Amino acid sequence: MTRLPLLALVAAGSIFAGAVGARVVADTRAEAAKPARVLAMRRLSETQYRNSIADVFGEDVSVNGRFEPESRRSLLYAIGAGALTVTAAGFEQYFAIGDSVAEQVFDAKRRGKLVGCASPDAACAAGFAKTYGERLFGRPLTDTEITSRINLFKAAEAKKQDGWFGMRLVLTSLLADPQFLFRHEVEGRTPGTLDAHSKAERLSFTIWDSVPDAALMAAAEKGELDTAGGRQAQVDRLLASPKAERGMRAFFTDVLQLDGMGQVTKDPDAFPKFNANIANSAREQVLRTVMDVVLTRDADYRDILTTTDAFIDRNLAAIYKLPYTGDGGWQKVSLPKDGDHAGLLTQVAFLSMFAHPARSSPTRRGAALGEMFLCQPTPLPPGDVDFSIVNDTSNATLKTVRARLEAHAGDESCAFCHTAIDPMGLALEQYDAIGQRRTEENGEPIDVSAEIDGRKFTGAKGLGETLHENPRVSGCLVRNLFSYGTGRAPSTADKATLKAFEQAFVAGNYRVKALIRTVATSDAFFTAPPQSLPAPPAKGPATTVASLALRPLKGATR
Amino acid sequence: MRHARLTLMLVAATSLTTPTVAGAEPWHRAYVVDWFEHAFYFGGGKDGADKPGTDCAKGSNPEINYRKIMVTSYRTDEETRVLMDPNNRDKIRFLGIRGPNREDVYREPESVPDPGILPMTGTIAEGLDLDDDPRTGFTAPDGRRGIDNAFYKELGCWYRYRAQAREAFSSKYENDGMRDGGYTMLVIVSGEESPENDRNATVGFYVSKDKMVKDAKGAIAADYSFRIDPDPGSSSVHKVTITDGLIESAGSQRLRLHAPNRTGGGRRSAVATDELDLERGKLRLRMKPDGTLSGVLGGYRDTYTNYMTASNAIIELVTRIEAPAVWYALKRGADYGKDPKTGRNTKISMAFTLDALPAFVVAPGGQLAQAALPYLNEQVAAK
Repeated sequence: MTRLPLLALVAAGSIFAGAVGARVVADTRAEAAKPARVLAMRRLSETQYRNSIADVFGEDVSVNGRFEPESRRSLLYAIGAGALTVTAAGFEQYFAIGDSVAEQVFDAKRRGKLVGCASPDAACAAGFAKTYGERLFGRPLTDTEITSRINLFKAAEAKKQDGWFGMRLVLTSLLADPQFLFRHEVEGRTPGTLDAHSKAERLSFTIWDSVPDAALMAAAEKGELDTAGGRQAQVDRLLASPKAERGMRAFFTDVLQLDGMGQVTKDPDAFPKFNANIANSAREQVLRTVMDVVLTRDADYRDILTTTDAFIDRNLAAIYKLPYTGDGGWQKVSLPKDGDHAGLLTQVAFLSMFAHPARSSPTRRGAALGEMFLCQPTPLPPGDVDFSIVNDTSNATLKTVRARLEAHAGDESCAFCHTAIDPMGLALEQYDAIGQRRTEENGEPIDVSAEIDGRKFTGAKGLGETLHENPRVSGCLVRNLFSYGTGRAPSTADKATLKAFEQAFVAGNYRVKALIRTVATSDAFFTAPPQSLPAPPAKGPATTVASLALRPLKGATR
Repeated sequence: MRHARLTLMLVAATSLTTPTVAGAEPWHRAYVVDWFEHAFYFGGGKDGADKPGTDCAKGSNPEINYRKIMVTSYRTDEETRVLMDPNNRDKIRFLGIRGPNREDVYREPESVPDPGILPMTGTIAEGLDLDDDPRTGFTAPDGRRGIDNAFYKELGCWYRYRAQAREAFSSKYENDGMRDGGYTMLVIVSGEESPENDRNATVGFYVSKDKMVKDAKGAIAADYSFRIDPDPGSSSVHKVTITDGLIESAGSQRLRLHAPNRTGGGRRSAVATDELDLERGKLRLRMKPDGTLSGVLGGYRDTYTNYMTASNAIIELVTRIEAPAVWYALKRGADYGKDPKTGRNTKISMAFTLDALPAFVVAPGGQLAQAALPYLNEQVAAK
């Protein structure tokens, strides 16, 4: 059976009509009988989807398919997730991915381990939907939701005379349900705060980048997440898990815009060494460096800007012109402390992402540093800006990009931004567009002196040290962590809270794990001002199912 | 992940690839060979390797007329026509069966008379003065005299190798195989004085199981690291002197390195080998300012080993020479290694050109090349 008829069968099984038409949010919630208000819906990211499948069904279940593009807002994808919808085509993709997962879960080698009943029948389907639906939705299923799965099971079994096929459709319907594809943050007893299950989800997705496990769900059910002590115990448990690295990787991938490495291309004439393998390695190098500082060594977060420890594989070693003595994996090396090395700032990922295909770009680098470490967004240049001087790399008199940028910034309309952006990027000019060291450009020595906020420095090392001491760097990380977890840009109402977090972060010697504990155990972390949810898409046959997926939970009760 | 923490001094690493100030300090430079081919001086123009040139007055050897040579007392013209039908893929099995008594001429080349090859007519050849007699042999393109390259003298018009540098049919085929991961050959030049002038330097040839990496343009990327294969086969260390950056052999020495062919993996059969074993070998290489290494090396190679690289139907079909002609040419040109029983020479002088890119070489055990050189050279010498 192809997937489209399968989709029709699932839809015909009234899954969505039942689930959404009589929309309720788990009767079993602690706040039962109170009207439920969905404060935010955040579409799962690709990694969250993949991690959730791995955690619920095992890492050997593969997730095959293309995901809908994500959107960065206010510097983070995590914030953009709250504004994402699913297109009709995207829903078909989710459906196909879900069906592929279900097919694997119910193949002969896995179903015995995962399903828990020897032969598929309605009771088995109900039990399965209840157990796994709770994991996937982050809350117990309502009776209506379970009944609709039983109906689907019966319809599918009758049609195909195959109970396992019916079970597979039950799981497909769970995986295609908006309750799984979108994290629903539901209001608790106190207005503007989350209910217990939403708290559990927020903790789990922030720290593990995945759905809550059974212990966290149980803690939520018992109301333990409503107390500081209970939250502390769970946060400590989550942070102690190996899955915490996965969560930290997701966070820093978002903050450091590492998704951009997938789109980096370089002019093969100018940089023949650069290829997809280098790009993949460069991305991993950043994450390994960050994990080493903030997780393995639990060191000062700001050291990611100055560390001379680096991780290299055979590909990156060739870029750095370093010997690689490993056996195919990653190798930790210490670069000379007196060299011009500055942690992530002098790694291939940052230097190649924020550069042109054939040449460096101090402006792009400066702007990116402002966004990542100072939370300082840079406006796009006006449409009619004249880049001719900057782009004239063969200019006989303006041989270096610094000279060309200075000439460009002589234009008053350009100077406003460039004066603020360029100094950080100019300090990195001794690294070319793929991060290789250089000291000259067109035969001219490269000047890497710069000044930020009245502090003068030289080169990448000087830049790293300057940023390391810049108080805005720690404040920016606090802002990013809070936004990443809550899925929203901080408002002025959050100012005092963020300041308190920052003070604790500084007092705790800039340890990220400690910061996570501070933020994720605070009451403020579990607040959620109502946000406007996306409107349902236009009606039409192709969007019927998708529109169900997107329908906001107005009038839902619990 | 490998947990071993290495302290790598960038300053030291940089010194591997940039000239150092002359001094009595041990030094080395490591390379990976990115092109290795038979040294066939090409005297033709740019209009194709088939055309006549100063090397081959009648051009390259023409296509084989199988319809003619396959007709024997036991095979009619019609049978030959059927056998040679382009759609008959089975013919490969029978092409060698054309001796007068059904001998396989690939195994028994002297079962048929010498089919001959178009004669090489030039006086210039790439190579080295292997016999230390400038009166014998060719003149090199740079004017050096006494160039011994009898392989080229006898087979210089063979389409297999006759073309501009890096353009010959077999050169491309064999080097593509190497560059696609068939095998990897490493070179370490080391000394005690300086890379510019050193009276007591060595050139070591090693093999690696680490594949070369291609860059975005399809060329081999420089600066990659390679681990030396702990099995010291196809490797040798050659004593040299260096004068103004020119590396030359300190006398004749046996050279063992990987042969230019398509695949690696050790001996392919009892006689066909991946090893290039050159007796009384010499080399002449130059470390260039751009960090690369180029030059020529040569020596005397066993004629039968050479013949085994040509004695099959595929080589015949695609390189336009009858295998027995290669055998007779090798036998005729053999200029070293007299067999006391027959009084005939058993080895033939030949030469190869080599280009190599800067690389990092890691010895078994994870040591970097400089530290590992004594161990490496001891291993090679002991084999």
